[in-house]
Amino acid sequence: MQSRGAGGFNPVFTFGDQSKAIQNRERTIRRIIQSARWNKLAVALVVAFASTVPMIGYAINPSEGGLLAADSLGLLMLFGYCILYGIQVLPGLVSAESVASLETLPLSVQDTSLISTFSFVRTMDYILIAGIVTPTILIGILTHSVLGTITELLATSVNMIFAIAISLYLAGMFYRNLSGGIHSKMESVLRLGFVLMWGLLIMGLGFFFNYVSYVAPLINTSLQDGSIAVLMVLSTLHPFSFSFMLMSSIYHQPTFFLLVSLVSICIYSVLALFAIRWSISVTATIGSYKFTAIKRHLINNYNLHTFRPMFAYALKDFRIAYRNPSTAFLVAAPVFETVVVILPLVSANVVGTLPTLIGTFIGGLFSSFTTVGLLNAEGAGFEYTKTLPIPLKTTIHAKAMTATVTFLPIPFVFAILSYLKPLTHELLYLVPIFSVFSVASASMAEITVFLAMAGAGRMVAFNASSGMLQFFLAMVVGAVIVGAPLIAFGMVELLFGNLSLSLISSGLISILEFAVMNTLISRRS
Amino acid sequence: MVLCVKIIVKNFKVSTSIRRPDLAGIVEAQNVTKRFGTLYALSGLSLSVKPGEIYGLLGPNGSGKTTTIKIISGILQPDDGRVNVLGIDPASDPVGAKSKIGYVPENPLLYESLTPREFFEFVASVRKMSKTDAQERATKLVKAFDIDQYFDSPIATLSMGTKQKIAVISALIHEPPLLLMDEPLNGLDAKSSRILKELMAYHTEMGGSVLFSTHIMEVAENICTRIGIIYQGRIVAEGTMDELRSYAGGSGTTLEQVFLRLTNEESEIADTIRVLREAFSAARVK
Repeated sequence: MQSRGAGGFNPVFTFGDQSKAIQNRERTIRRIIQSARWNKLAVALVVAFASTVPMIGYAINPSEGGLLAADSLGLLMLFGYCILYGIQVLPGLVSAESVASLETLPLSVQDTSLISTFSFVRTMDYILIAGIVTPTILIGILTHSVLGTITELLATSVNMIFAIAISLYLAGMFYRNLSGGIHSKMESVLRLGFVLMWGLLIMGLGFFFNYVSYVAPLINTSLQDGSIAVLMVLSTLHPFSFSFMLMSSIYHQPTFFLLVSLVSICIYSVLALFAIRWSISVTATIGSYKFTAIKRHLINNYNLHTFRPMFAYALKDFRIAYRNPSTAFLVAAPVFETVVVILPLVSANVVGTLPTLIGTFIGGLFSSFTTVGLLNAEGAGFEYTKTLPIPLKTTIHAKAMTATVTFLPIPFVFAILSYLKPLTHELLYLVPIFSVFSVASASMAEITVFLAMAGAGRMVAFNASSGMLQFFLAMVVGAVIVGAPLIAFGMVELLFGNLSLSLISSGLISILEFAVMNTLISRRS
Repeated sequence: MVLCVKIIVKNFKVSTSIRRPDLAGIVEAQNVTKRFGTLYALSGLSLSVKPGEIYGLLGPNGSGKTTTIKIISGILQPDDGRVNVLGIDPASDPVGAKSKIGYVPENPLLYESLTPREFFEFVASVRKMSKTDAQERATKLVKAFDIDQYFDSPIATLSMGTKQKIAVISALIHEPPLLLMDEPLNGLDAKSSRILKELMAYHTEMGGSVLFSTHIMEVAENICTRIGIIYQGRIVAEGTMDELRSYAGGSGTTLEQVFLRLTNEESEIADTIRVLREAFSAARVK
């Protein structure tokens, strides 16, 4: 069942001509189901691929340490991806909206519980199978060991069970936190803090994958050096305990750490059984609304604040985005982007041109992509907005403004950095400042592409996967617009070796992009 | 109860009376046609809503009621014909038309993540209302429709009836000259339903107009100034209740009978009932 709810994964389905959908309901419903399947399949394939990549190193150069590192890294990546996927789709399930339509049917509480449990299983089935089967088969092929294969089967099963249980817990926490409403300024602040942490968690998982890749050399080194402390800690932690067991079963080297990891595995296996039981009991209570019980409060004021329409629209977008788990990371986006872009520059002695260009491009690209996230978060509510006297131009400007705001910390921090560190050119800090215009232009262009395709009837997307081409096209357009001034900068610098000329050309292109996009939007409106 | 409702409505002061424009009709639709692929949702529909009247649009499912309302509100563009709303063509100036209209959709697809408070802030801001006016109007409407306790709860957690109330409040908050409502009583409890009907009547007393669609014959019969019966994309009959009765041939005829007669559904219904009776009788014999 497709589930929405306050924190659900909102499908983009309002931008096309709904009349065509209404005309052929059967085909529309088939498309929705197909989209959901394709979406799950795509995620499962990504997960399967992610678990395969770490094994490539071991396949080329088999070794004990290599197996330990590859296997643990693969399991951790599966763990991370499963949680990322789970916290996006499960809030819709826990909101109980998916079972609300069953309330009028002659079903017992047990029947409803069974249905919600099956819904949960069907939501996670493809990723669960991919996460368990792929590494198991890989280990079987690479090691030709029955014991190793069985060990890996146990490892992946426990790994995926933990990931799914944690996702379910986090989804419930997210939904409960945001469905209770806001009753005071302090609650608003705490709510924002929660979402900031949520966004950083999601983005931090990206760092996590990178960090894990540093663990592999550490493991290798520790094994070679016989570093007892490190190996002892690793053999008790999940998933390293399983990887130790796997290594020992393949290379037949019983060690003290094998015993420690065996005990750890038993404990984790028992915990996994508890996790299954907890997950099933929780999903069974979804239909009775116990998992996400909502409290009502009497209000003590009827204050309303009004704003200028464009700002009101942007504020609405922001509120919706941060209450949707798949777009809540936007709150953390300015922090994350700034860290990603500025961190490499901080460690350098001199802030060079190439790192500045690359950092600005990455930050600008990410910011412009948030527009797509904002469009996705609008969901069905966009239908209501069509009934309001708000020009299309205002809608586009509002979204572009929100996306651009996420980029603003970068030129700001860069300007501060330019006072603290020497630059290869004294005006290099202007590059991110000019890029503000490019980011705004890219955001406007992406929305325009989206709406143009919807208006031409080429997109009645019920899920991002069925509109994958349209998203991809919008992103390519955004990337070209953000990149054009920076490429111009680089080319002028290469051809003429004059940084001032490069800056002028880059700035002019950025401003020209901005002027052109505004003109196009005004004409379209 | 009736007294309470009247007090609630009376407290609902209009800061300025809605100016009754000097037009033949608040809404004028002439020969409007709308196609969806090969399907004609409207084919040559013509209607007019006069100032100060409640116009009820009645029709069977799929007759074009929602399409008509969406074209008048500027959400959809007609393929042919002319529409005029308070002197504005919604097709060429949808923003201008929408600023004059309070629209209640059939299915209130609202921003589920927002609370009603935030939603009203958004709507009031887009409609360029002052903070004072928005607060005053919203307070009275929220209290009138009894949604105080839901004011700060996400819309996703509310029942369909409460969502409908939010949609109604959003349509009324800016005192529009024209109210366009598509099945506005869907999901409303008895009290809220009564309040809305009284507000519609009050709205027209203050110079505004209402165009709404409904399936509930008794509502149309009791509150509408004029009724338009729409069938297969065109208005087949239009007028006061008495005019429709005489058109359908007979005084004392209920609106339901008039409706079924004019949409040629009387004989179809009789056949269907006969078939069902035969089927159920056969099942009982078995």
